[in-house]
Amino acid sequence: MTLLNHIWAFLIIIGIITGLGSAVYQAQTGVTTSRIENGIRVTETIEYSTWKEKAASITKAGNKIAGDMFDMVGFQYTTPEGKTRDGAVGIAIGYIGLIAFWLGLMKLAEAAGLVAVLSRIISPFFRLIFPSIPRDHPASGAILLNFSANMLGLDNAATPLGIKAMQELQKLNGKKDTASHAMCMFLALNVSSLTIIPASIIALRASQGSVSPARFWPVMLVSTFIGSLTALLLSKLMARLTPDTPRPGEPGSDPPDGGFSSPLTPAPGDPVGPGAPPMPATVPGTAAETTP
Amino acid sequence: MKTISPDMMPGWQILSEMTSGWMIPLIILFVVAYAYLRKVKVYEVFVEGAKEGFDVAVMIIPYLIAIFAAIALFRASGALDYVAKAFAHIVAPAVMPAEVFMMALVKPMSGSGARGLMMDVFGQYGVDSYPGFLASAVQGSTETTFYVVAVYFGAVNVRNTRYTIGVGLIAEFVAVAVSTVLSYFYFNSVQ
Repeated sequence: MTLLNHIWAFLIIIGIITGLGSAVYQAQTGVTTSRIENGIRVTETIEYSTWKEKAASITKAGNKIAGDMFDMVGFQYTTPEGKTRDGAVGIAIGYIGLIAFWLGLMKLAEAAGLVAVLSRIISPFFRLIFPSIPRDHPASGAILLNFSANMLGLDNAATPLGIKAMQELQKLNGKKDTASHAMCMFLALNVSSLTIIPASIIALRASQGSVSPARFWPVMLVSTFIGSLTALLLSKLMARLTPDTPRPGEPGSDPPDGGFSSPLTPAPGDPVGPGAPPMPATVPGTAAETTP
Repeated sequence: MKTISPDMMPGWQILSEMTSGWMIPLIILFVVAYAYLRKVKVYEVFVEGAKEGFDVAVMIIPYLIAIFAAIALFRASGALDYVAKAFAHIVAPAVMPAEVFMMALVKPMSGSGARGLMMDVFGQYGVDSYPGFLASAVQGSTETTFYVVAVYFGAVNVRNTRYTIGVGLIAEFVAVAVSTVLSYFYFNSVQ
């Protein structure tokens, strides 16, 4: 089992048990809430005397936990402070336009040969970081664009370009439900924050009346660099210690869609037995993808 | 969010904001103009690519729901607060105040949560205080790990994320530790 399974179970099991425990405890001792109002900490204590009040407070705590969870997986919700936030579905749906736009623009860049140019330029440098990406494969260009958008703090472009890069990497991956080494490396670098220009934080600090909104920048640069370097080296180590997923068509890879024999290596003159489904000469959409 | 008048900002900051403001329009201009001059059927090709947007976004939904549900349960139950309080004082508050520690702990799980905590630090200590400085540095050198993993792997339907989360969290820990040490010396020596 991978780490994410353990973390997921941990968050849910420990979360609910803690919630139940603290609800029962707080029903006995009373609830102390503190919040910051105009820079001053305000503390309030509510105590429950009868068992009915206590039971009601336990019920309320349970409802809050369930309510908060359903808020976050839903479309939109309102925080106690009155702000409207998107839930999981809202975020995904709200992304449709942005993803569609950038995938469209990337298709243009690909058709015009721009991605190929970028891939050719960056390929020699990516040999070390992404050894499993073939020379001049469009995945290199897409990854480069995502890294650039991240570094410049172009948040709106970075995620759709990252998705595009993942799609390109998935074409090189023979086991479609499992991450390849290249994907893990790409993700590790992305989650280690590649930011060079932290535009949104500088803007936030300026809006809070900071006299030097960018003062933290040198420290952030060094720690970002060291964090990314750690991610890179650890991914390299894991790639050495564990086997990579097979390429499409290699032994152990998923059968291609529709159950045909691999479209990558169609055996010449493969006899189609009587009664076998008619096999198309090429599976649309896969022939071009699997021959870089 | 109130905006400050351009006259109050240093020159380099105005230039950098202008550059980043025009970056995306200029990229779009470059790609479209280049493709058009290369006689690509720009409109048709663009639509062809954009068609995938819907499927990708819908594909992400189950991954986001799984991550958000787990995080929501962990936060709403107060478990996150307990963990943060339990560990907050392993580092001297003068080096890393409990609020900043809390922010660093929340960051991989929730970007908006971490941003809210950073604003609390600004409100409580001041933007230009040491905790404000450290919070900004930590915020800038970390990412919303679980969210990024859900979106990127979700978009290509990869369920087995292997060692990504582990590597990401270790890298985040290193970045926070380096930020803290550097901030402590930098803030107290460079004026």
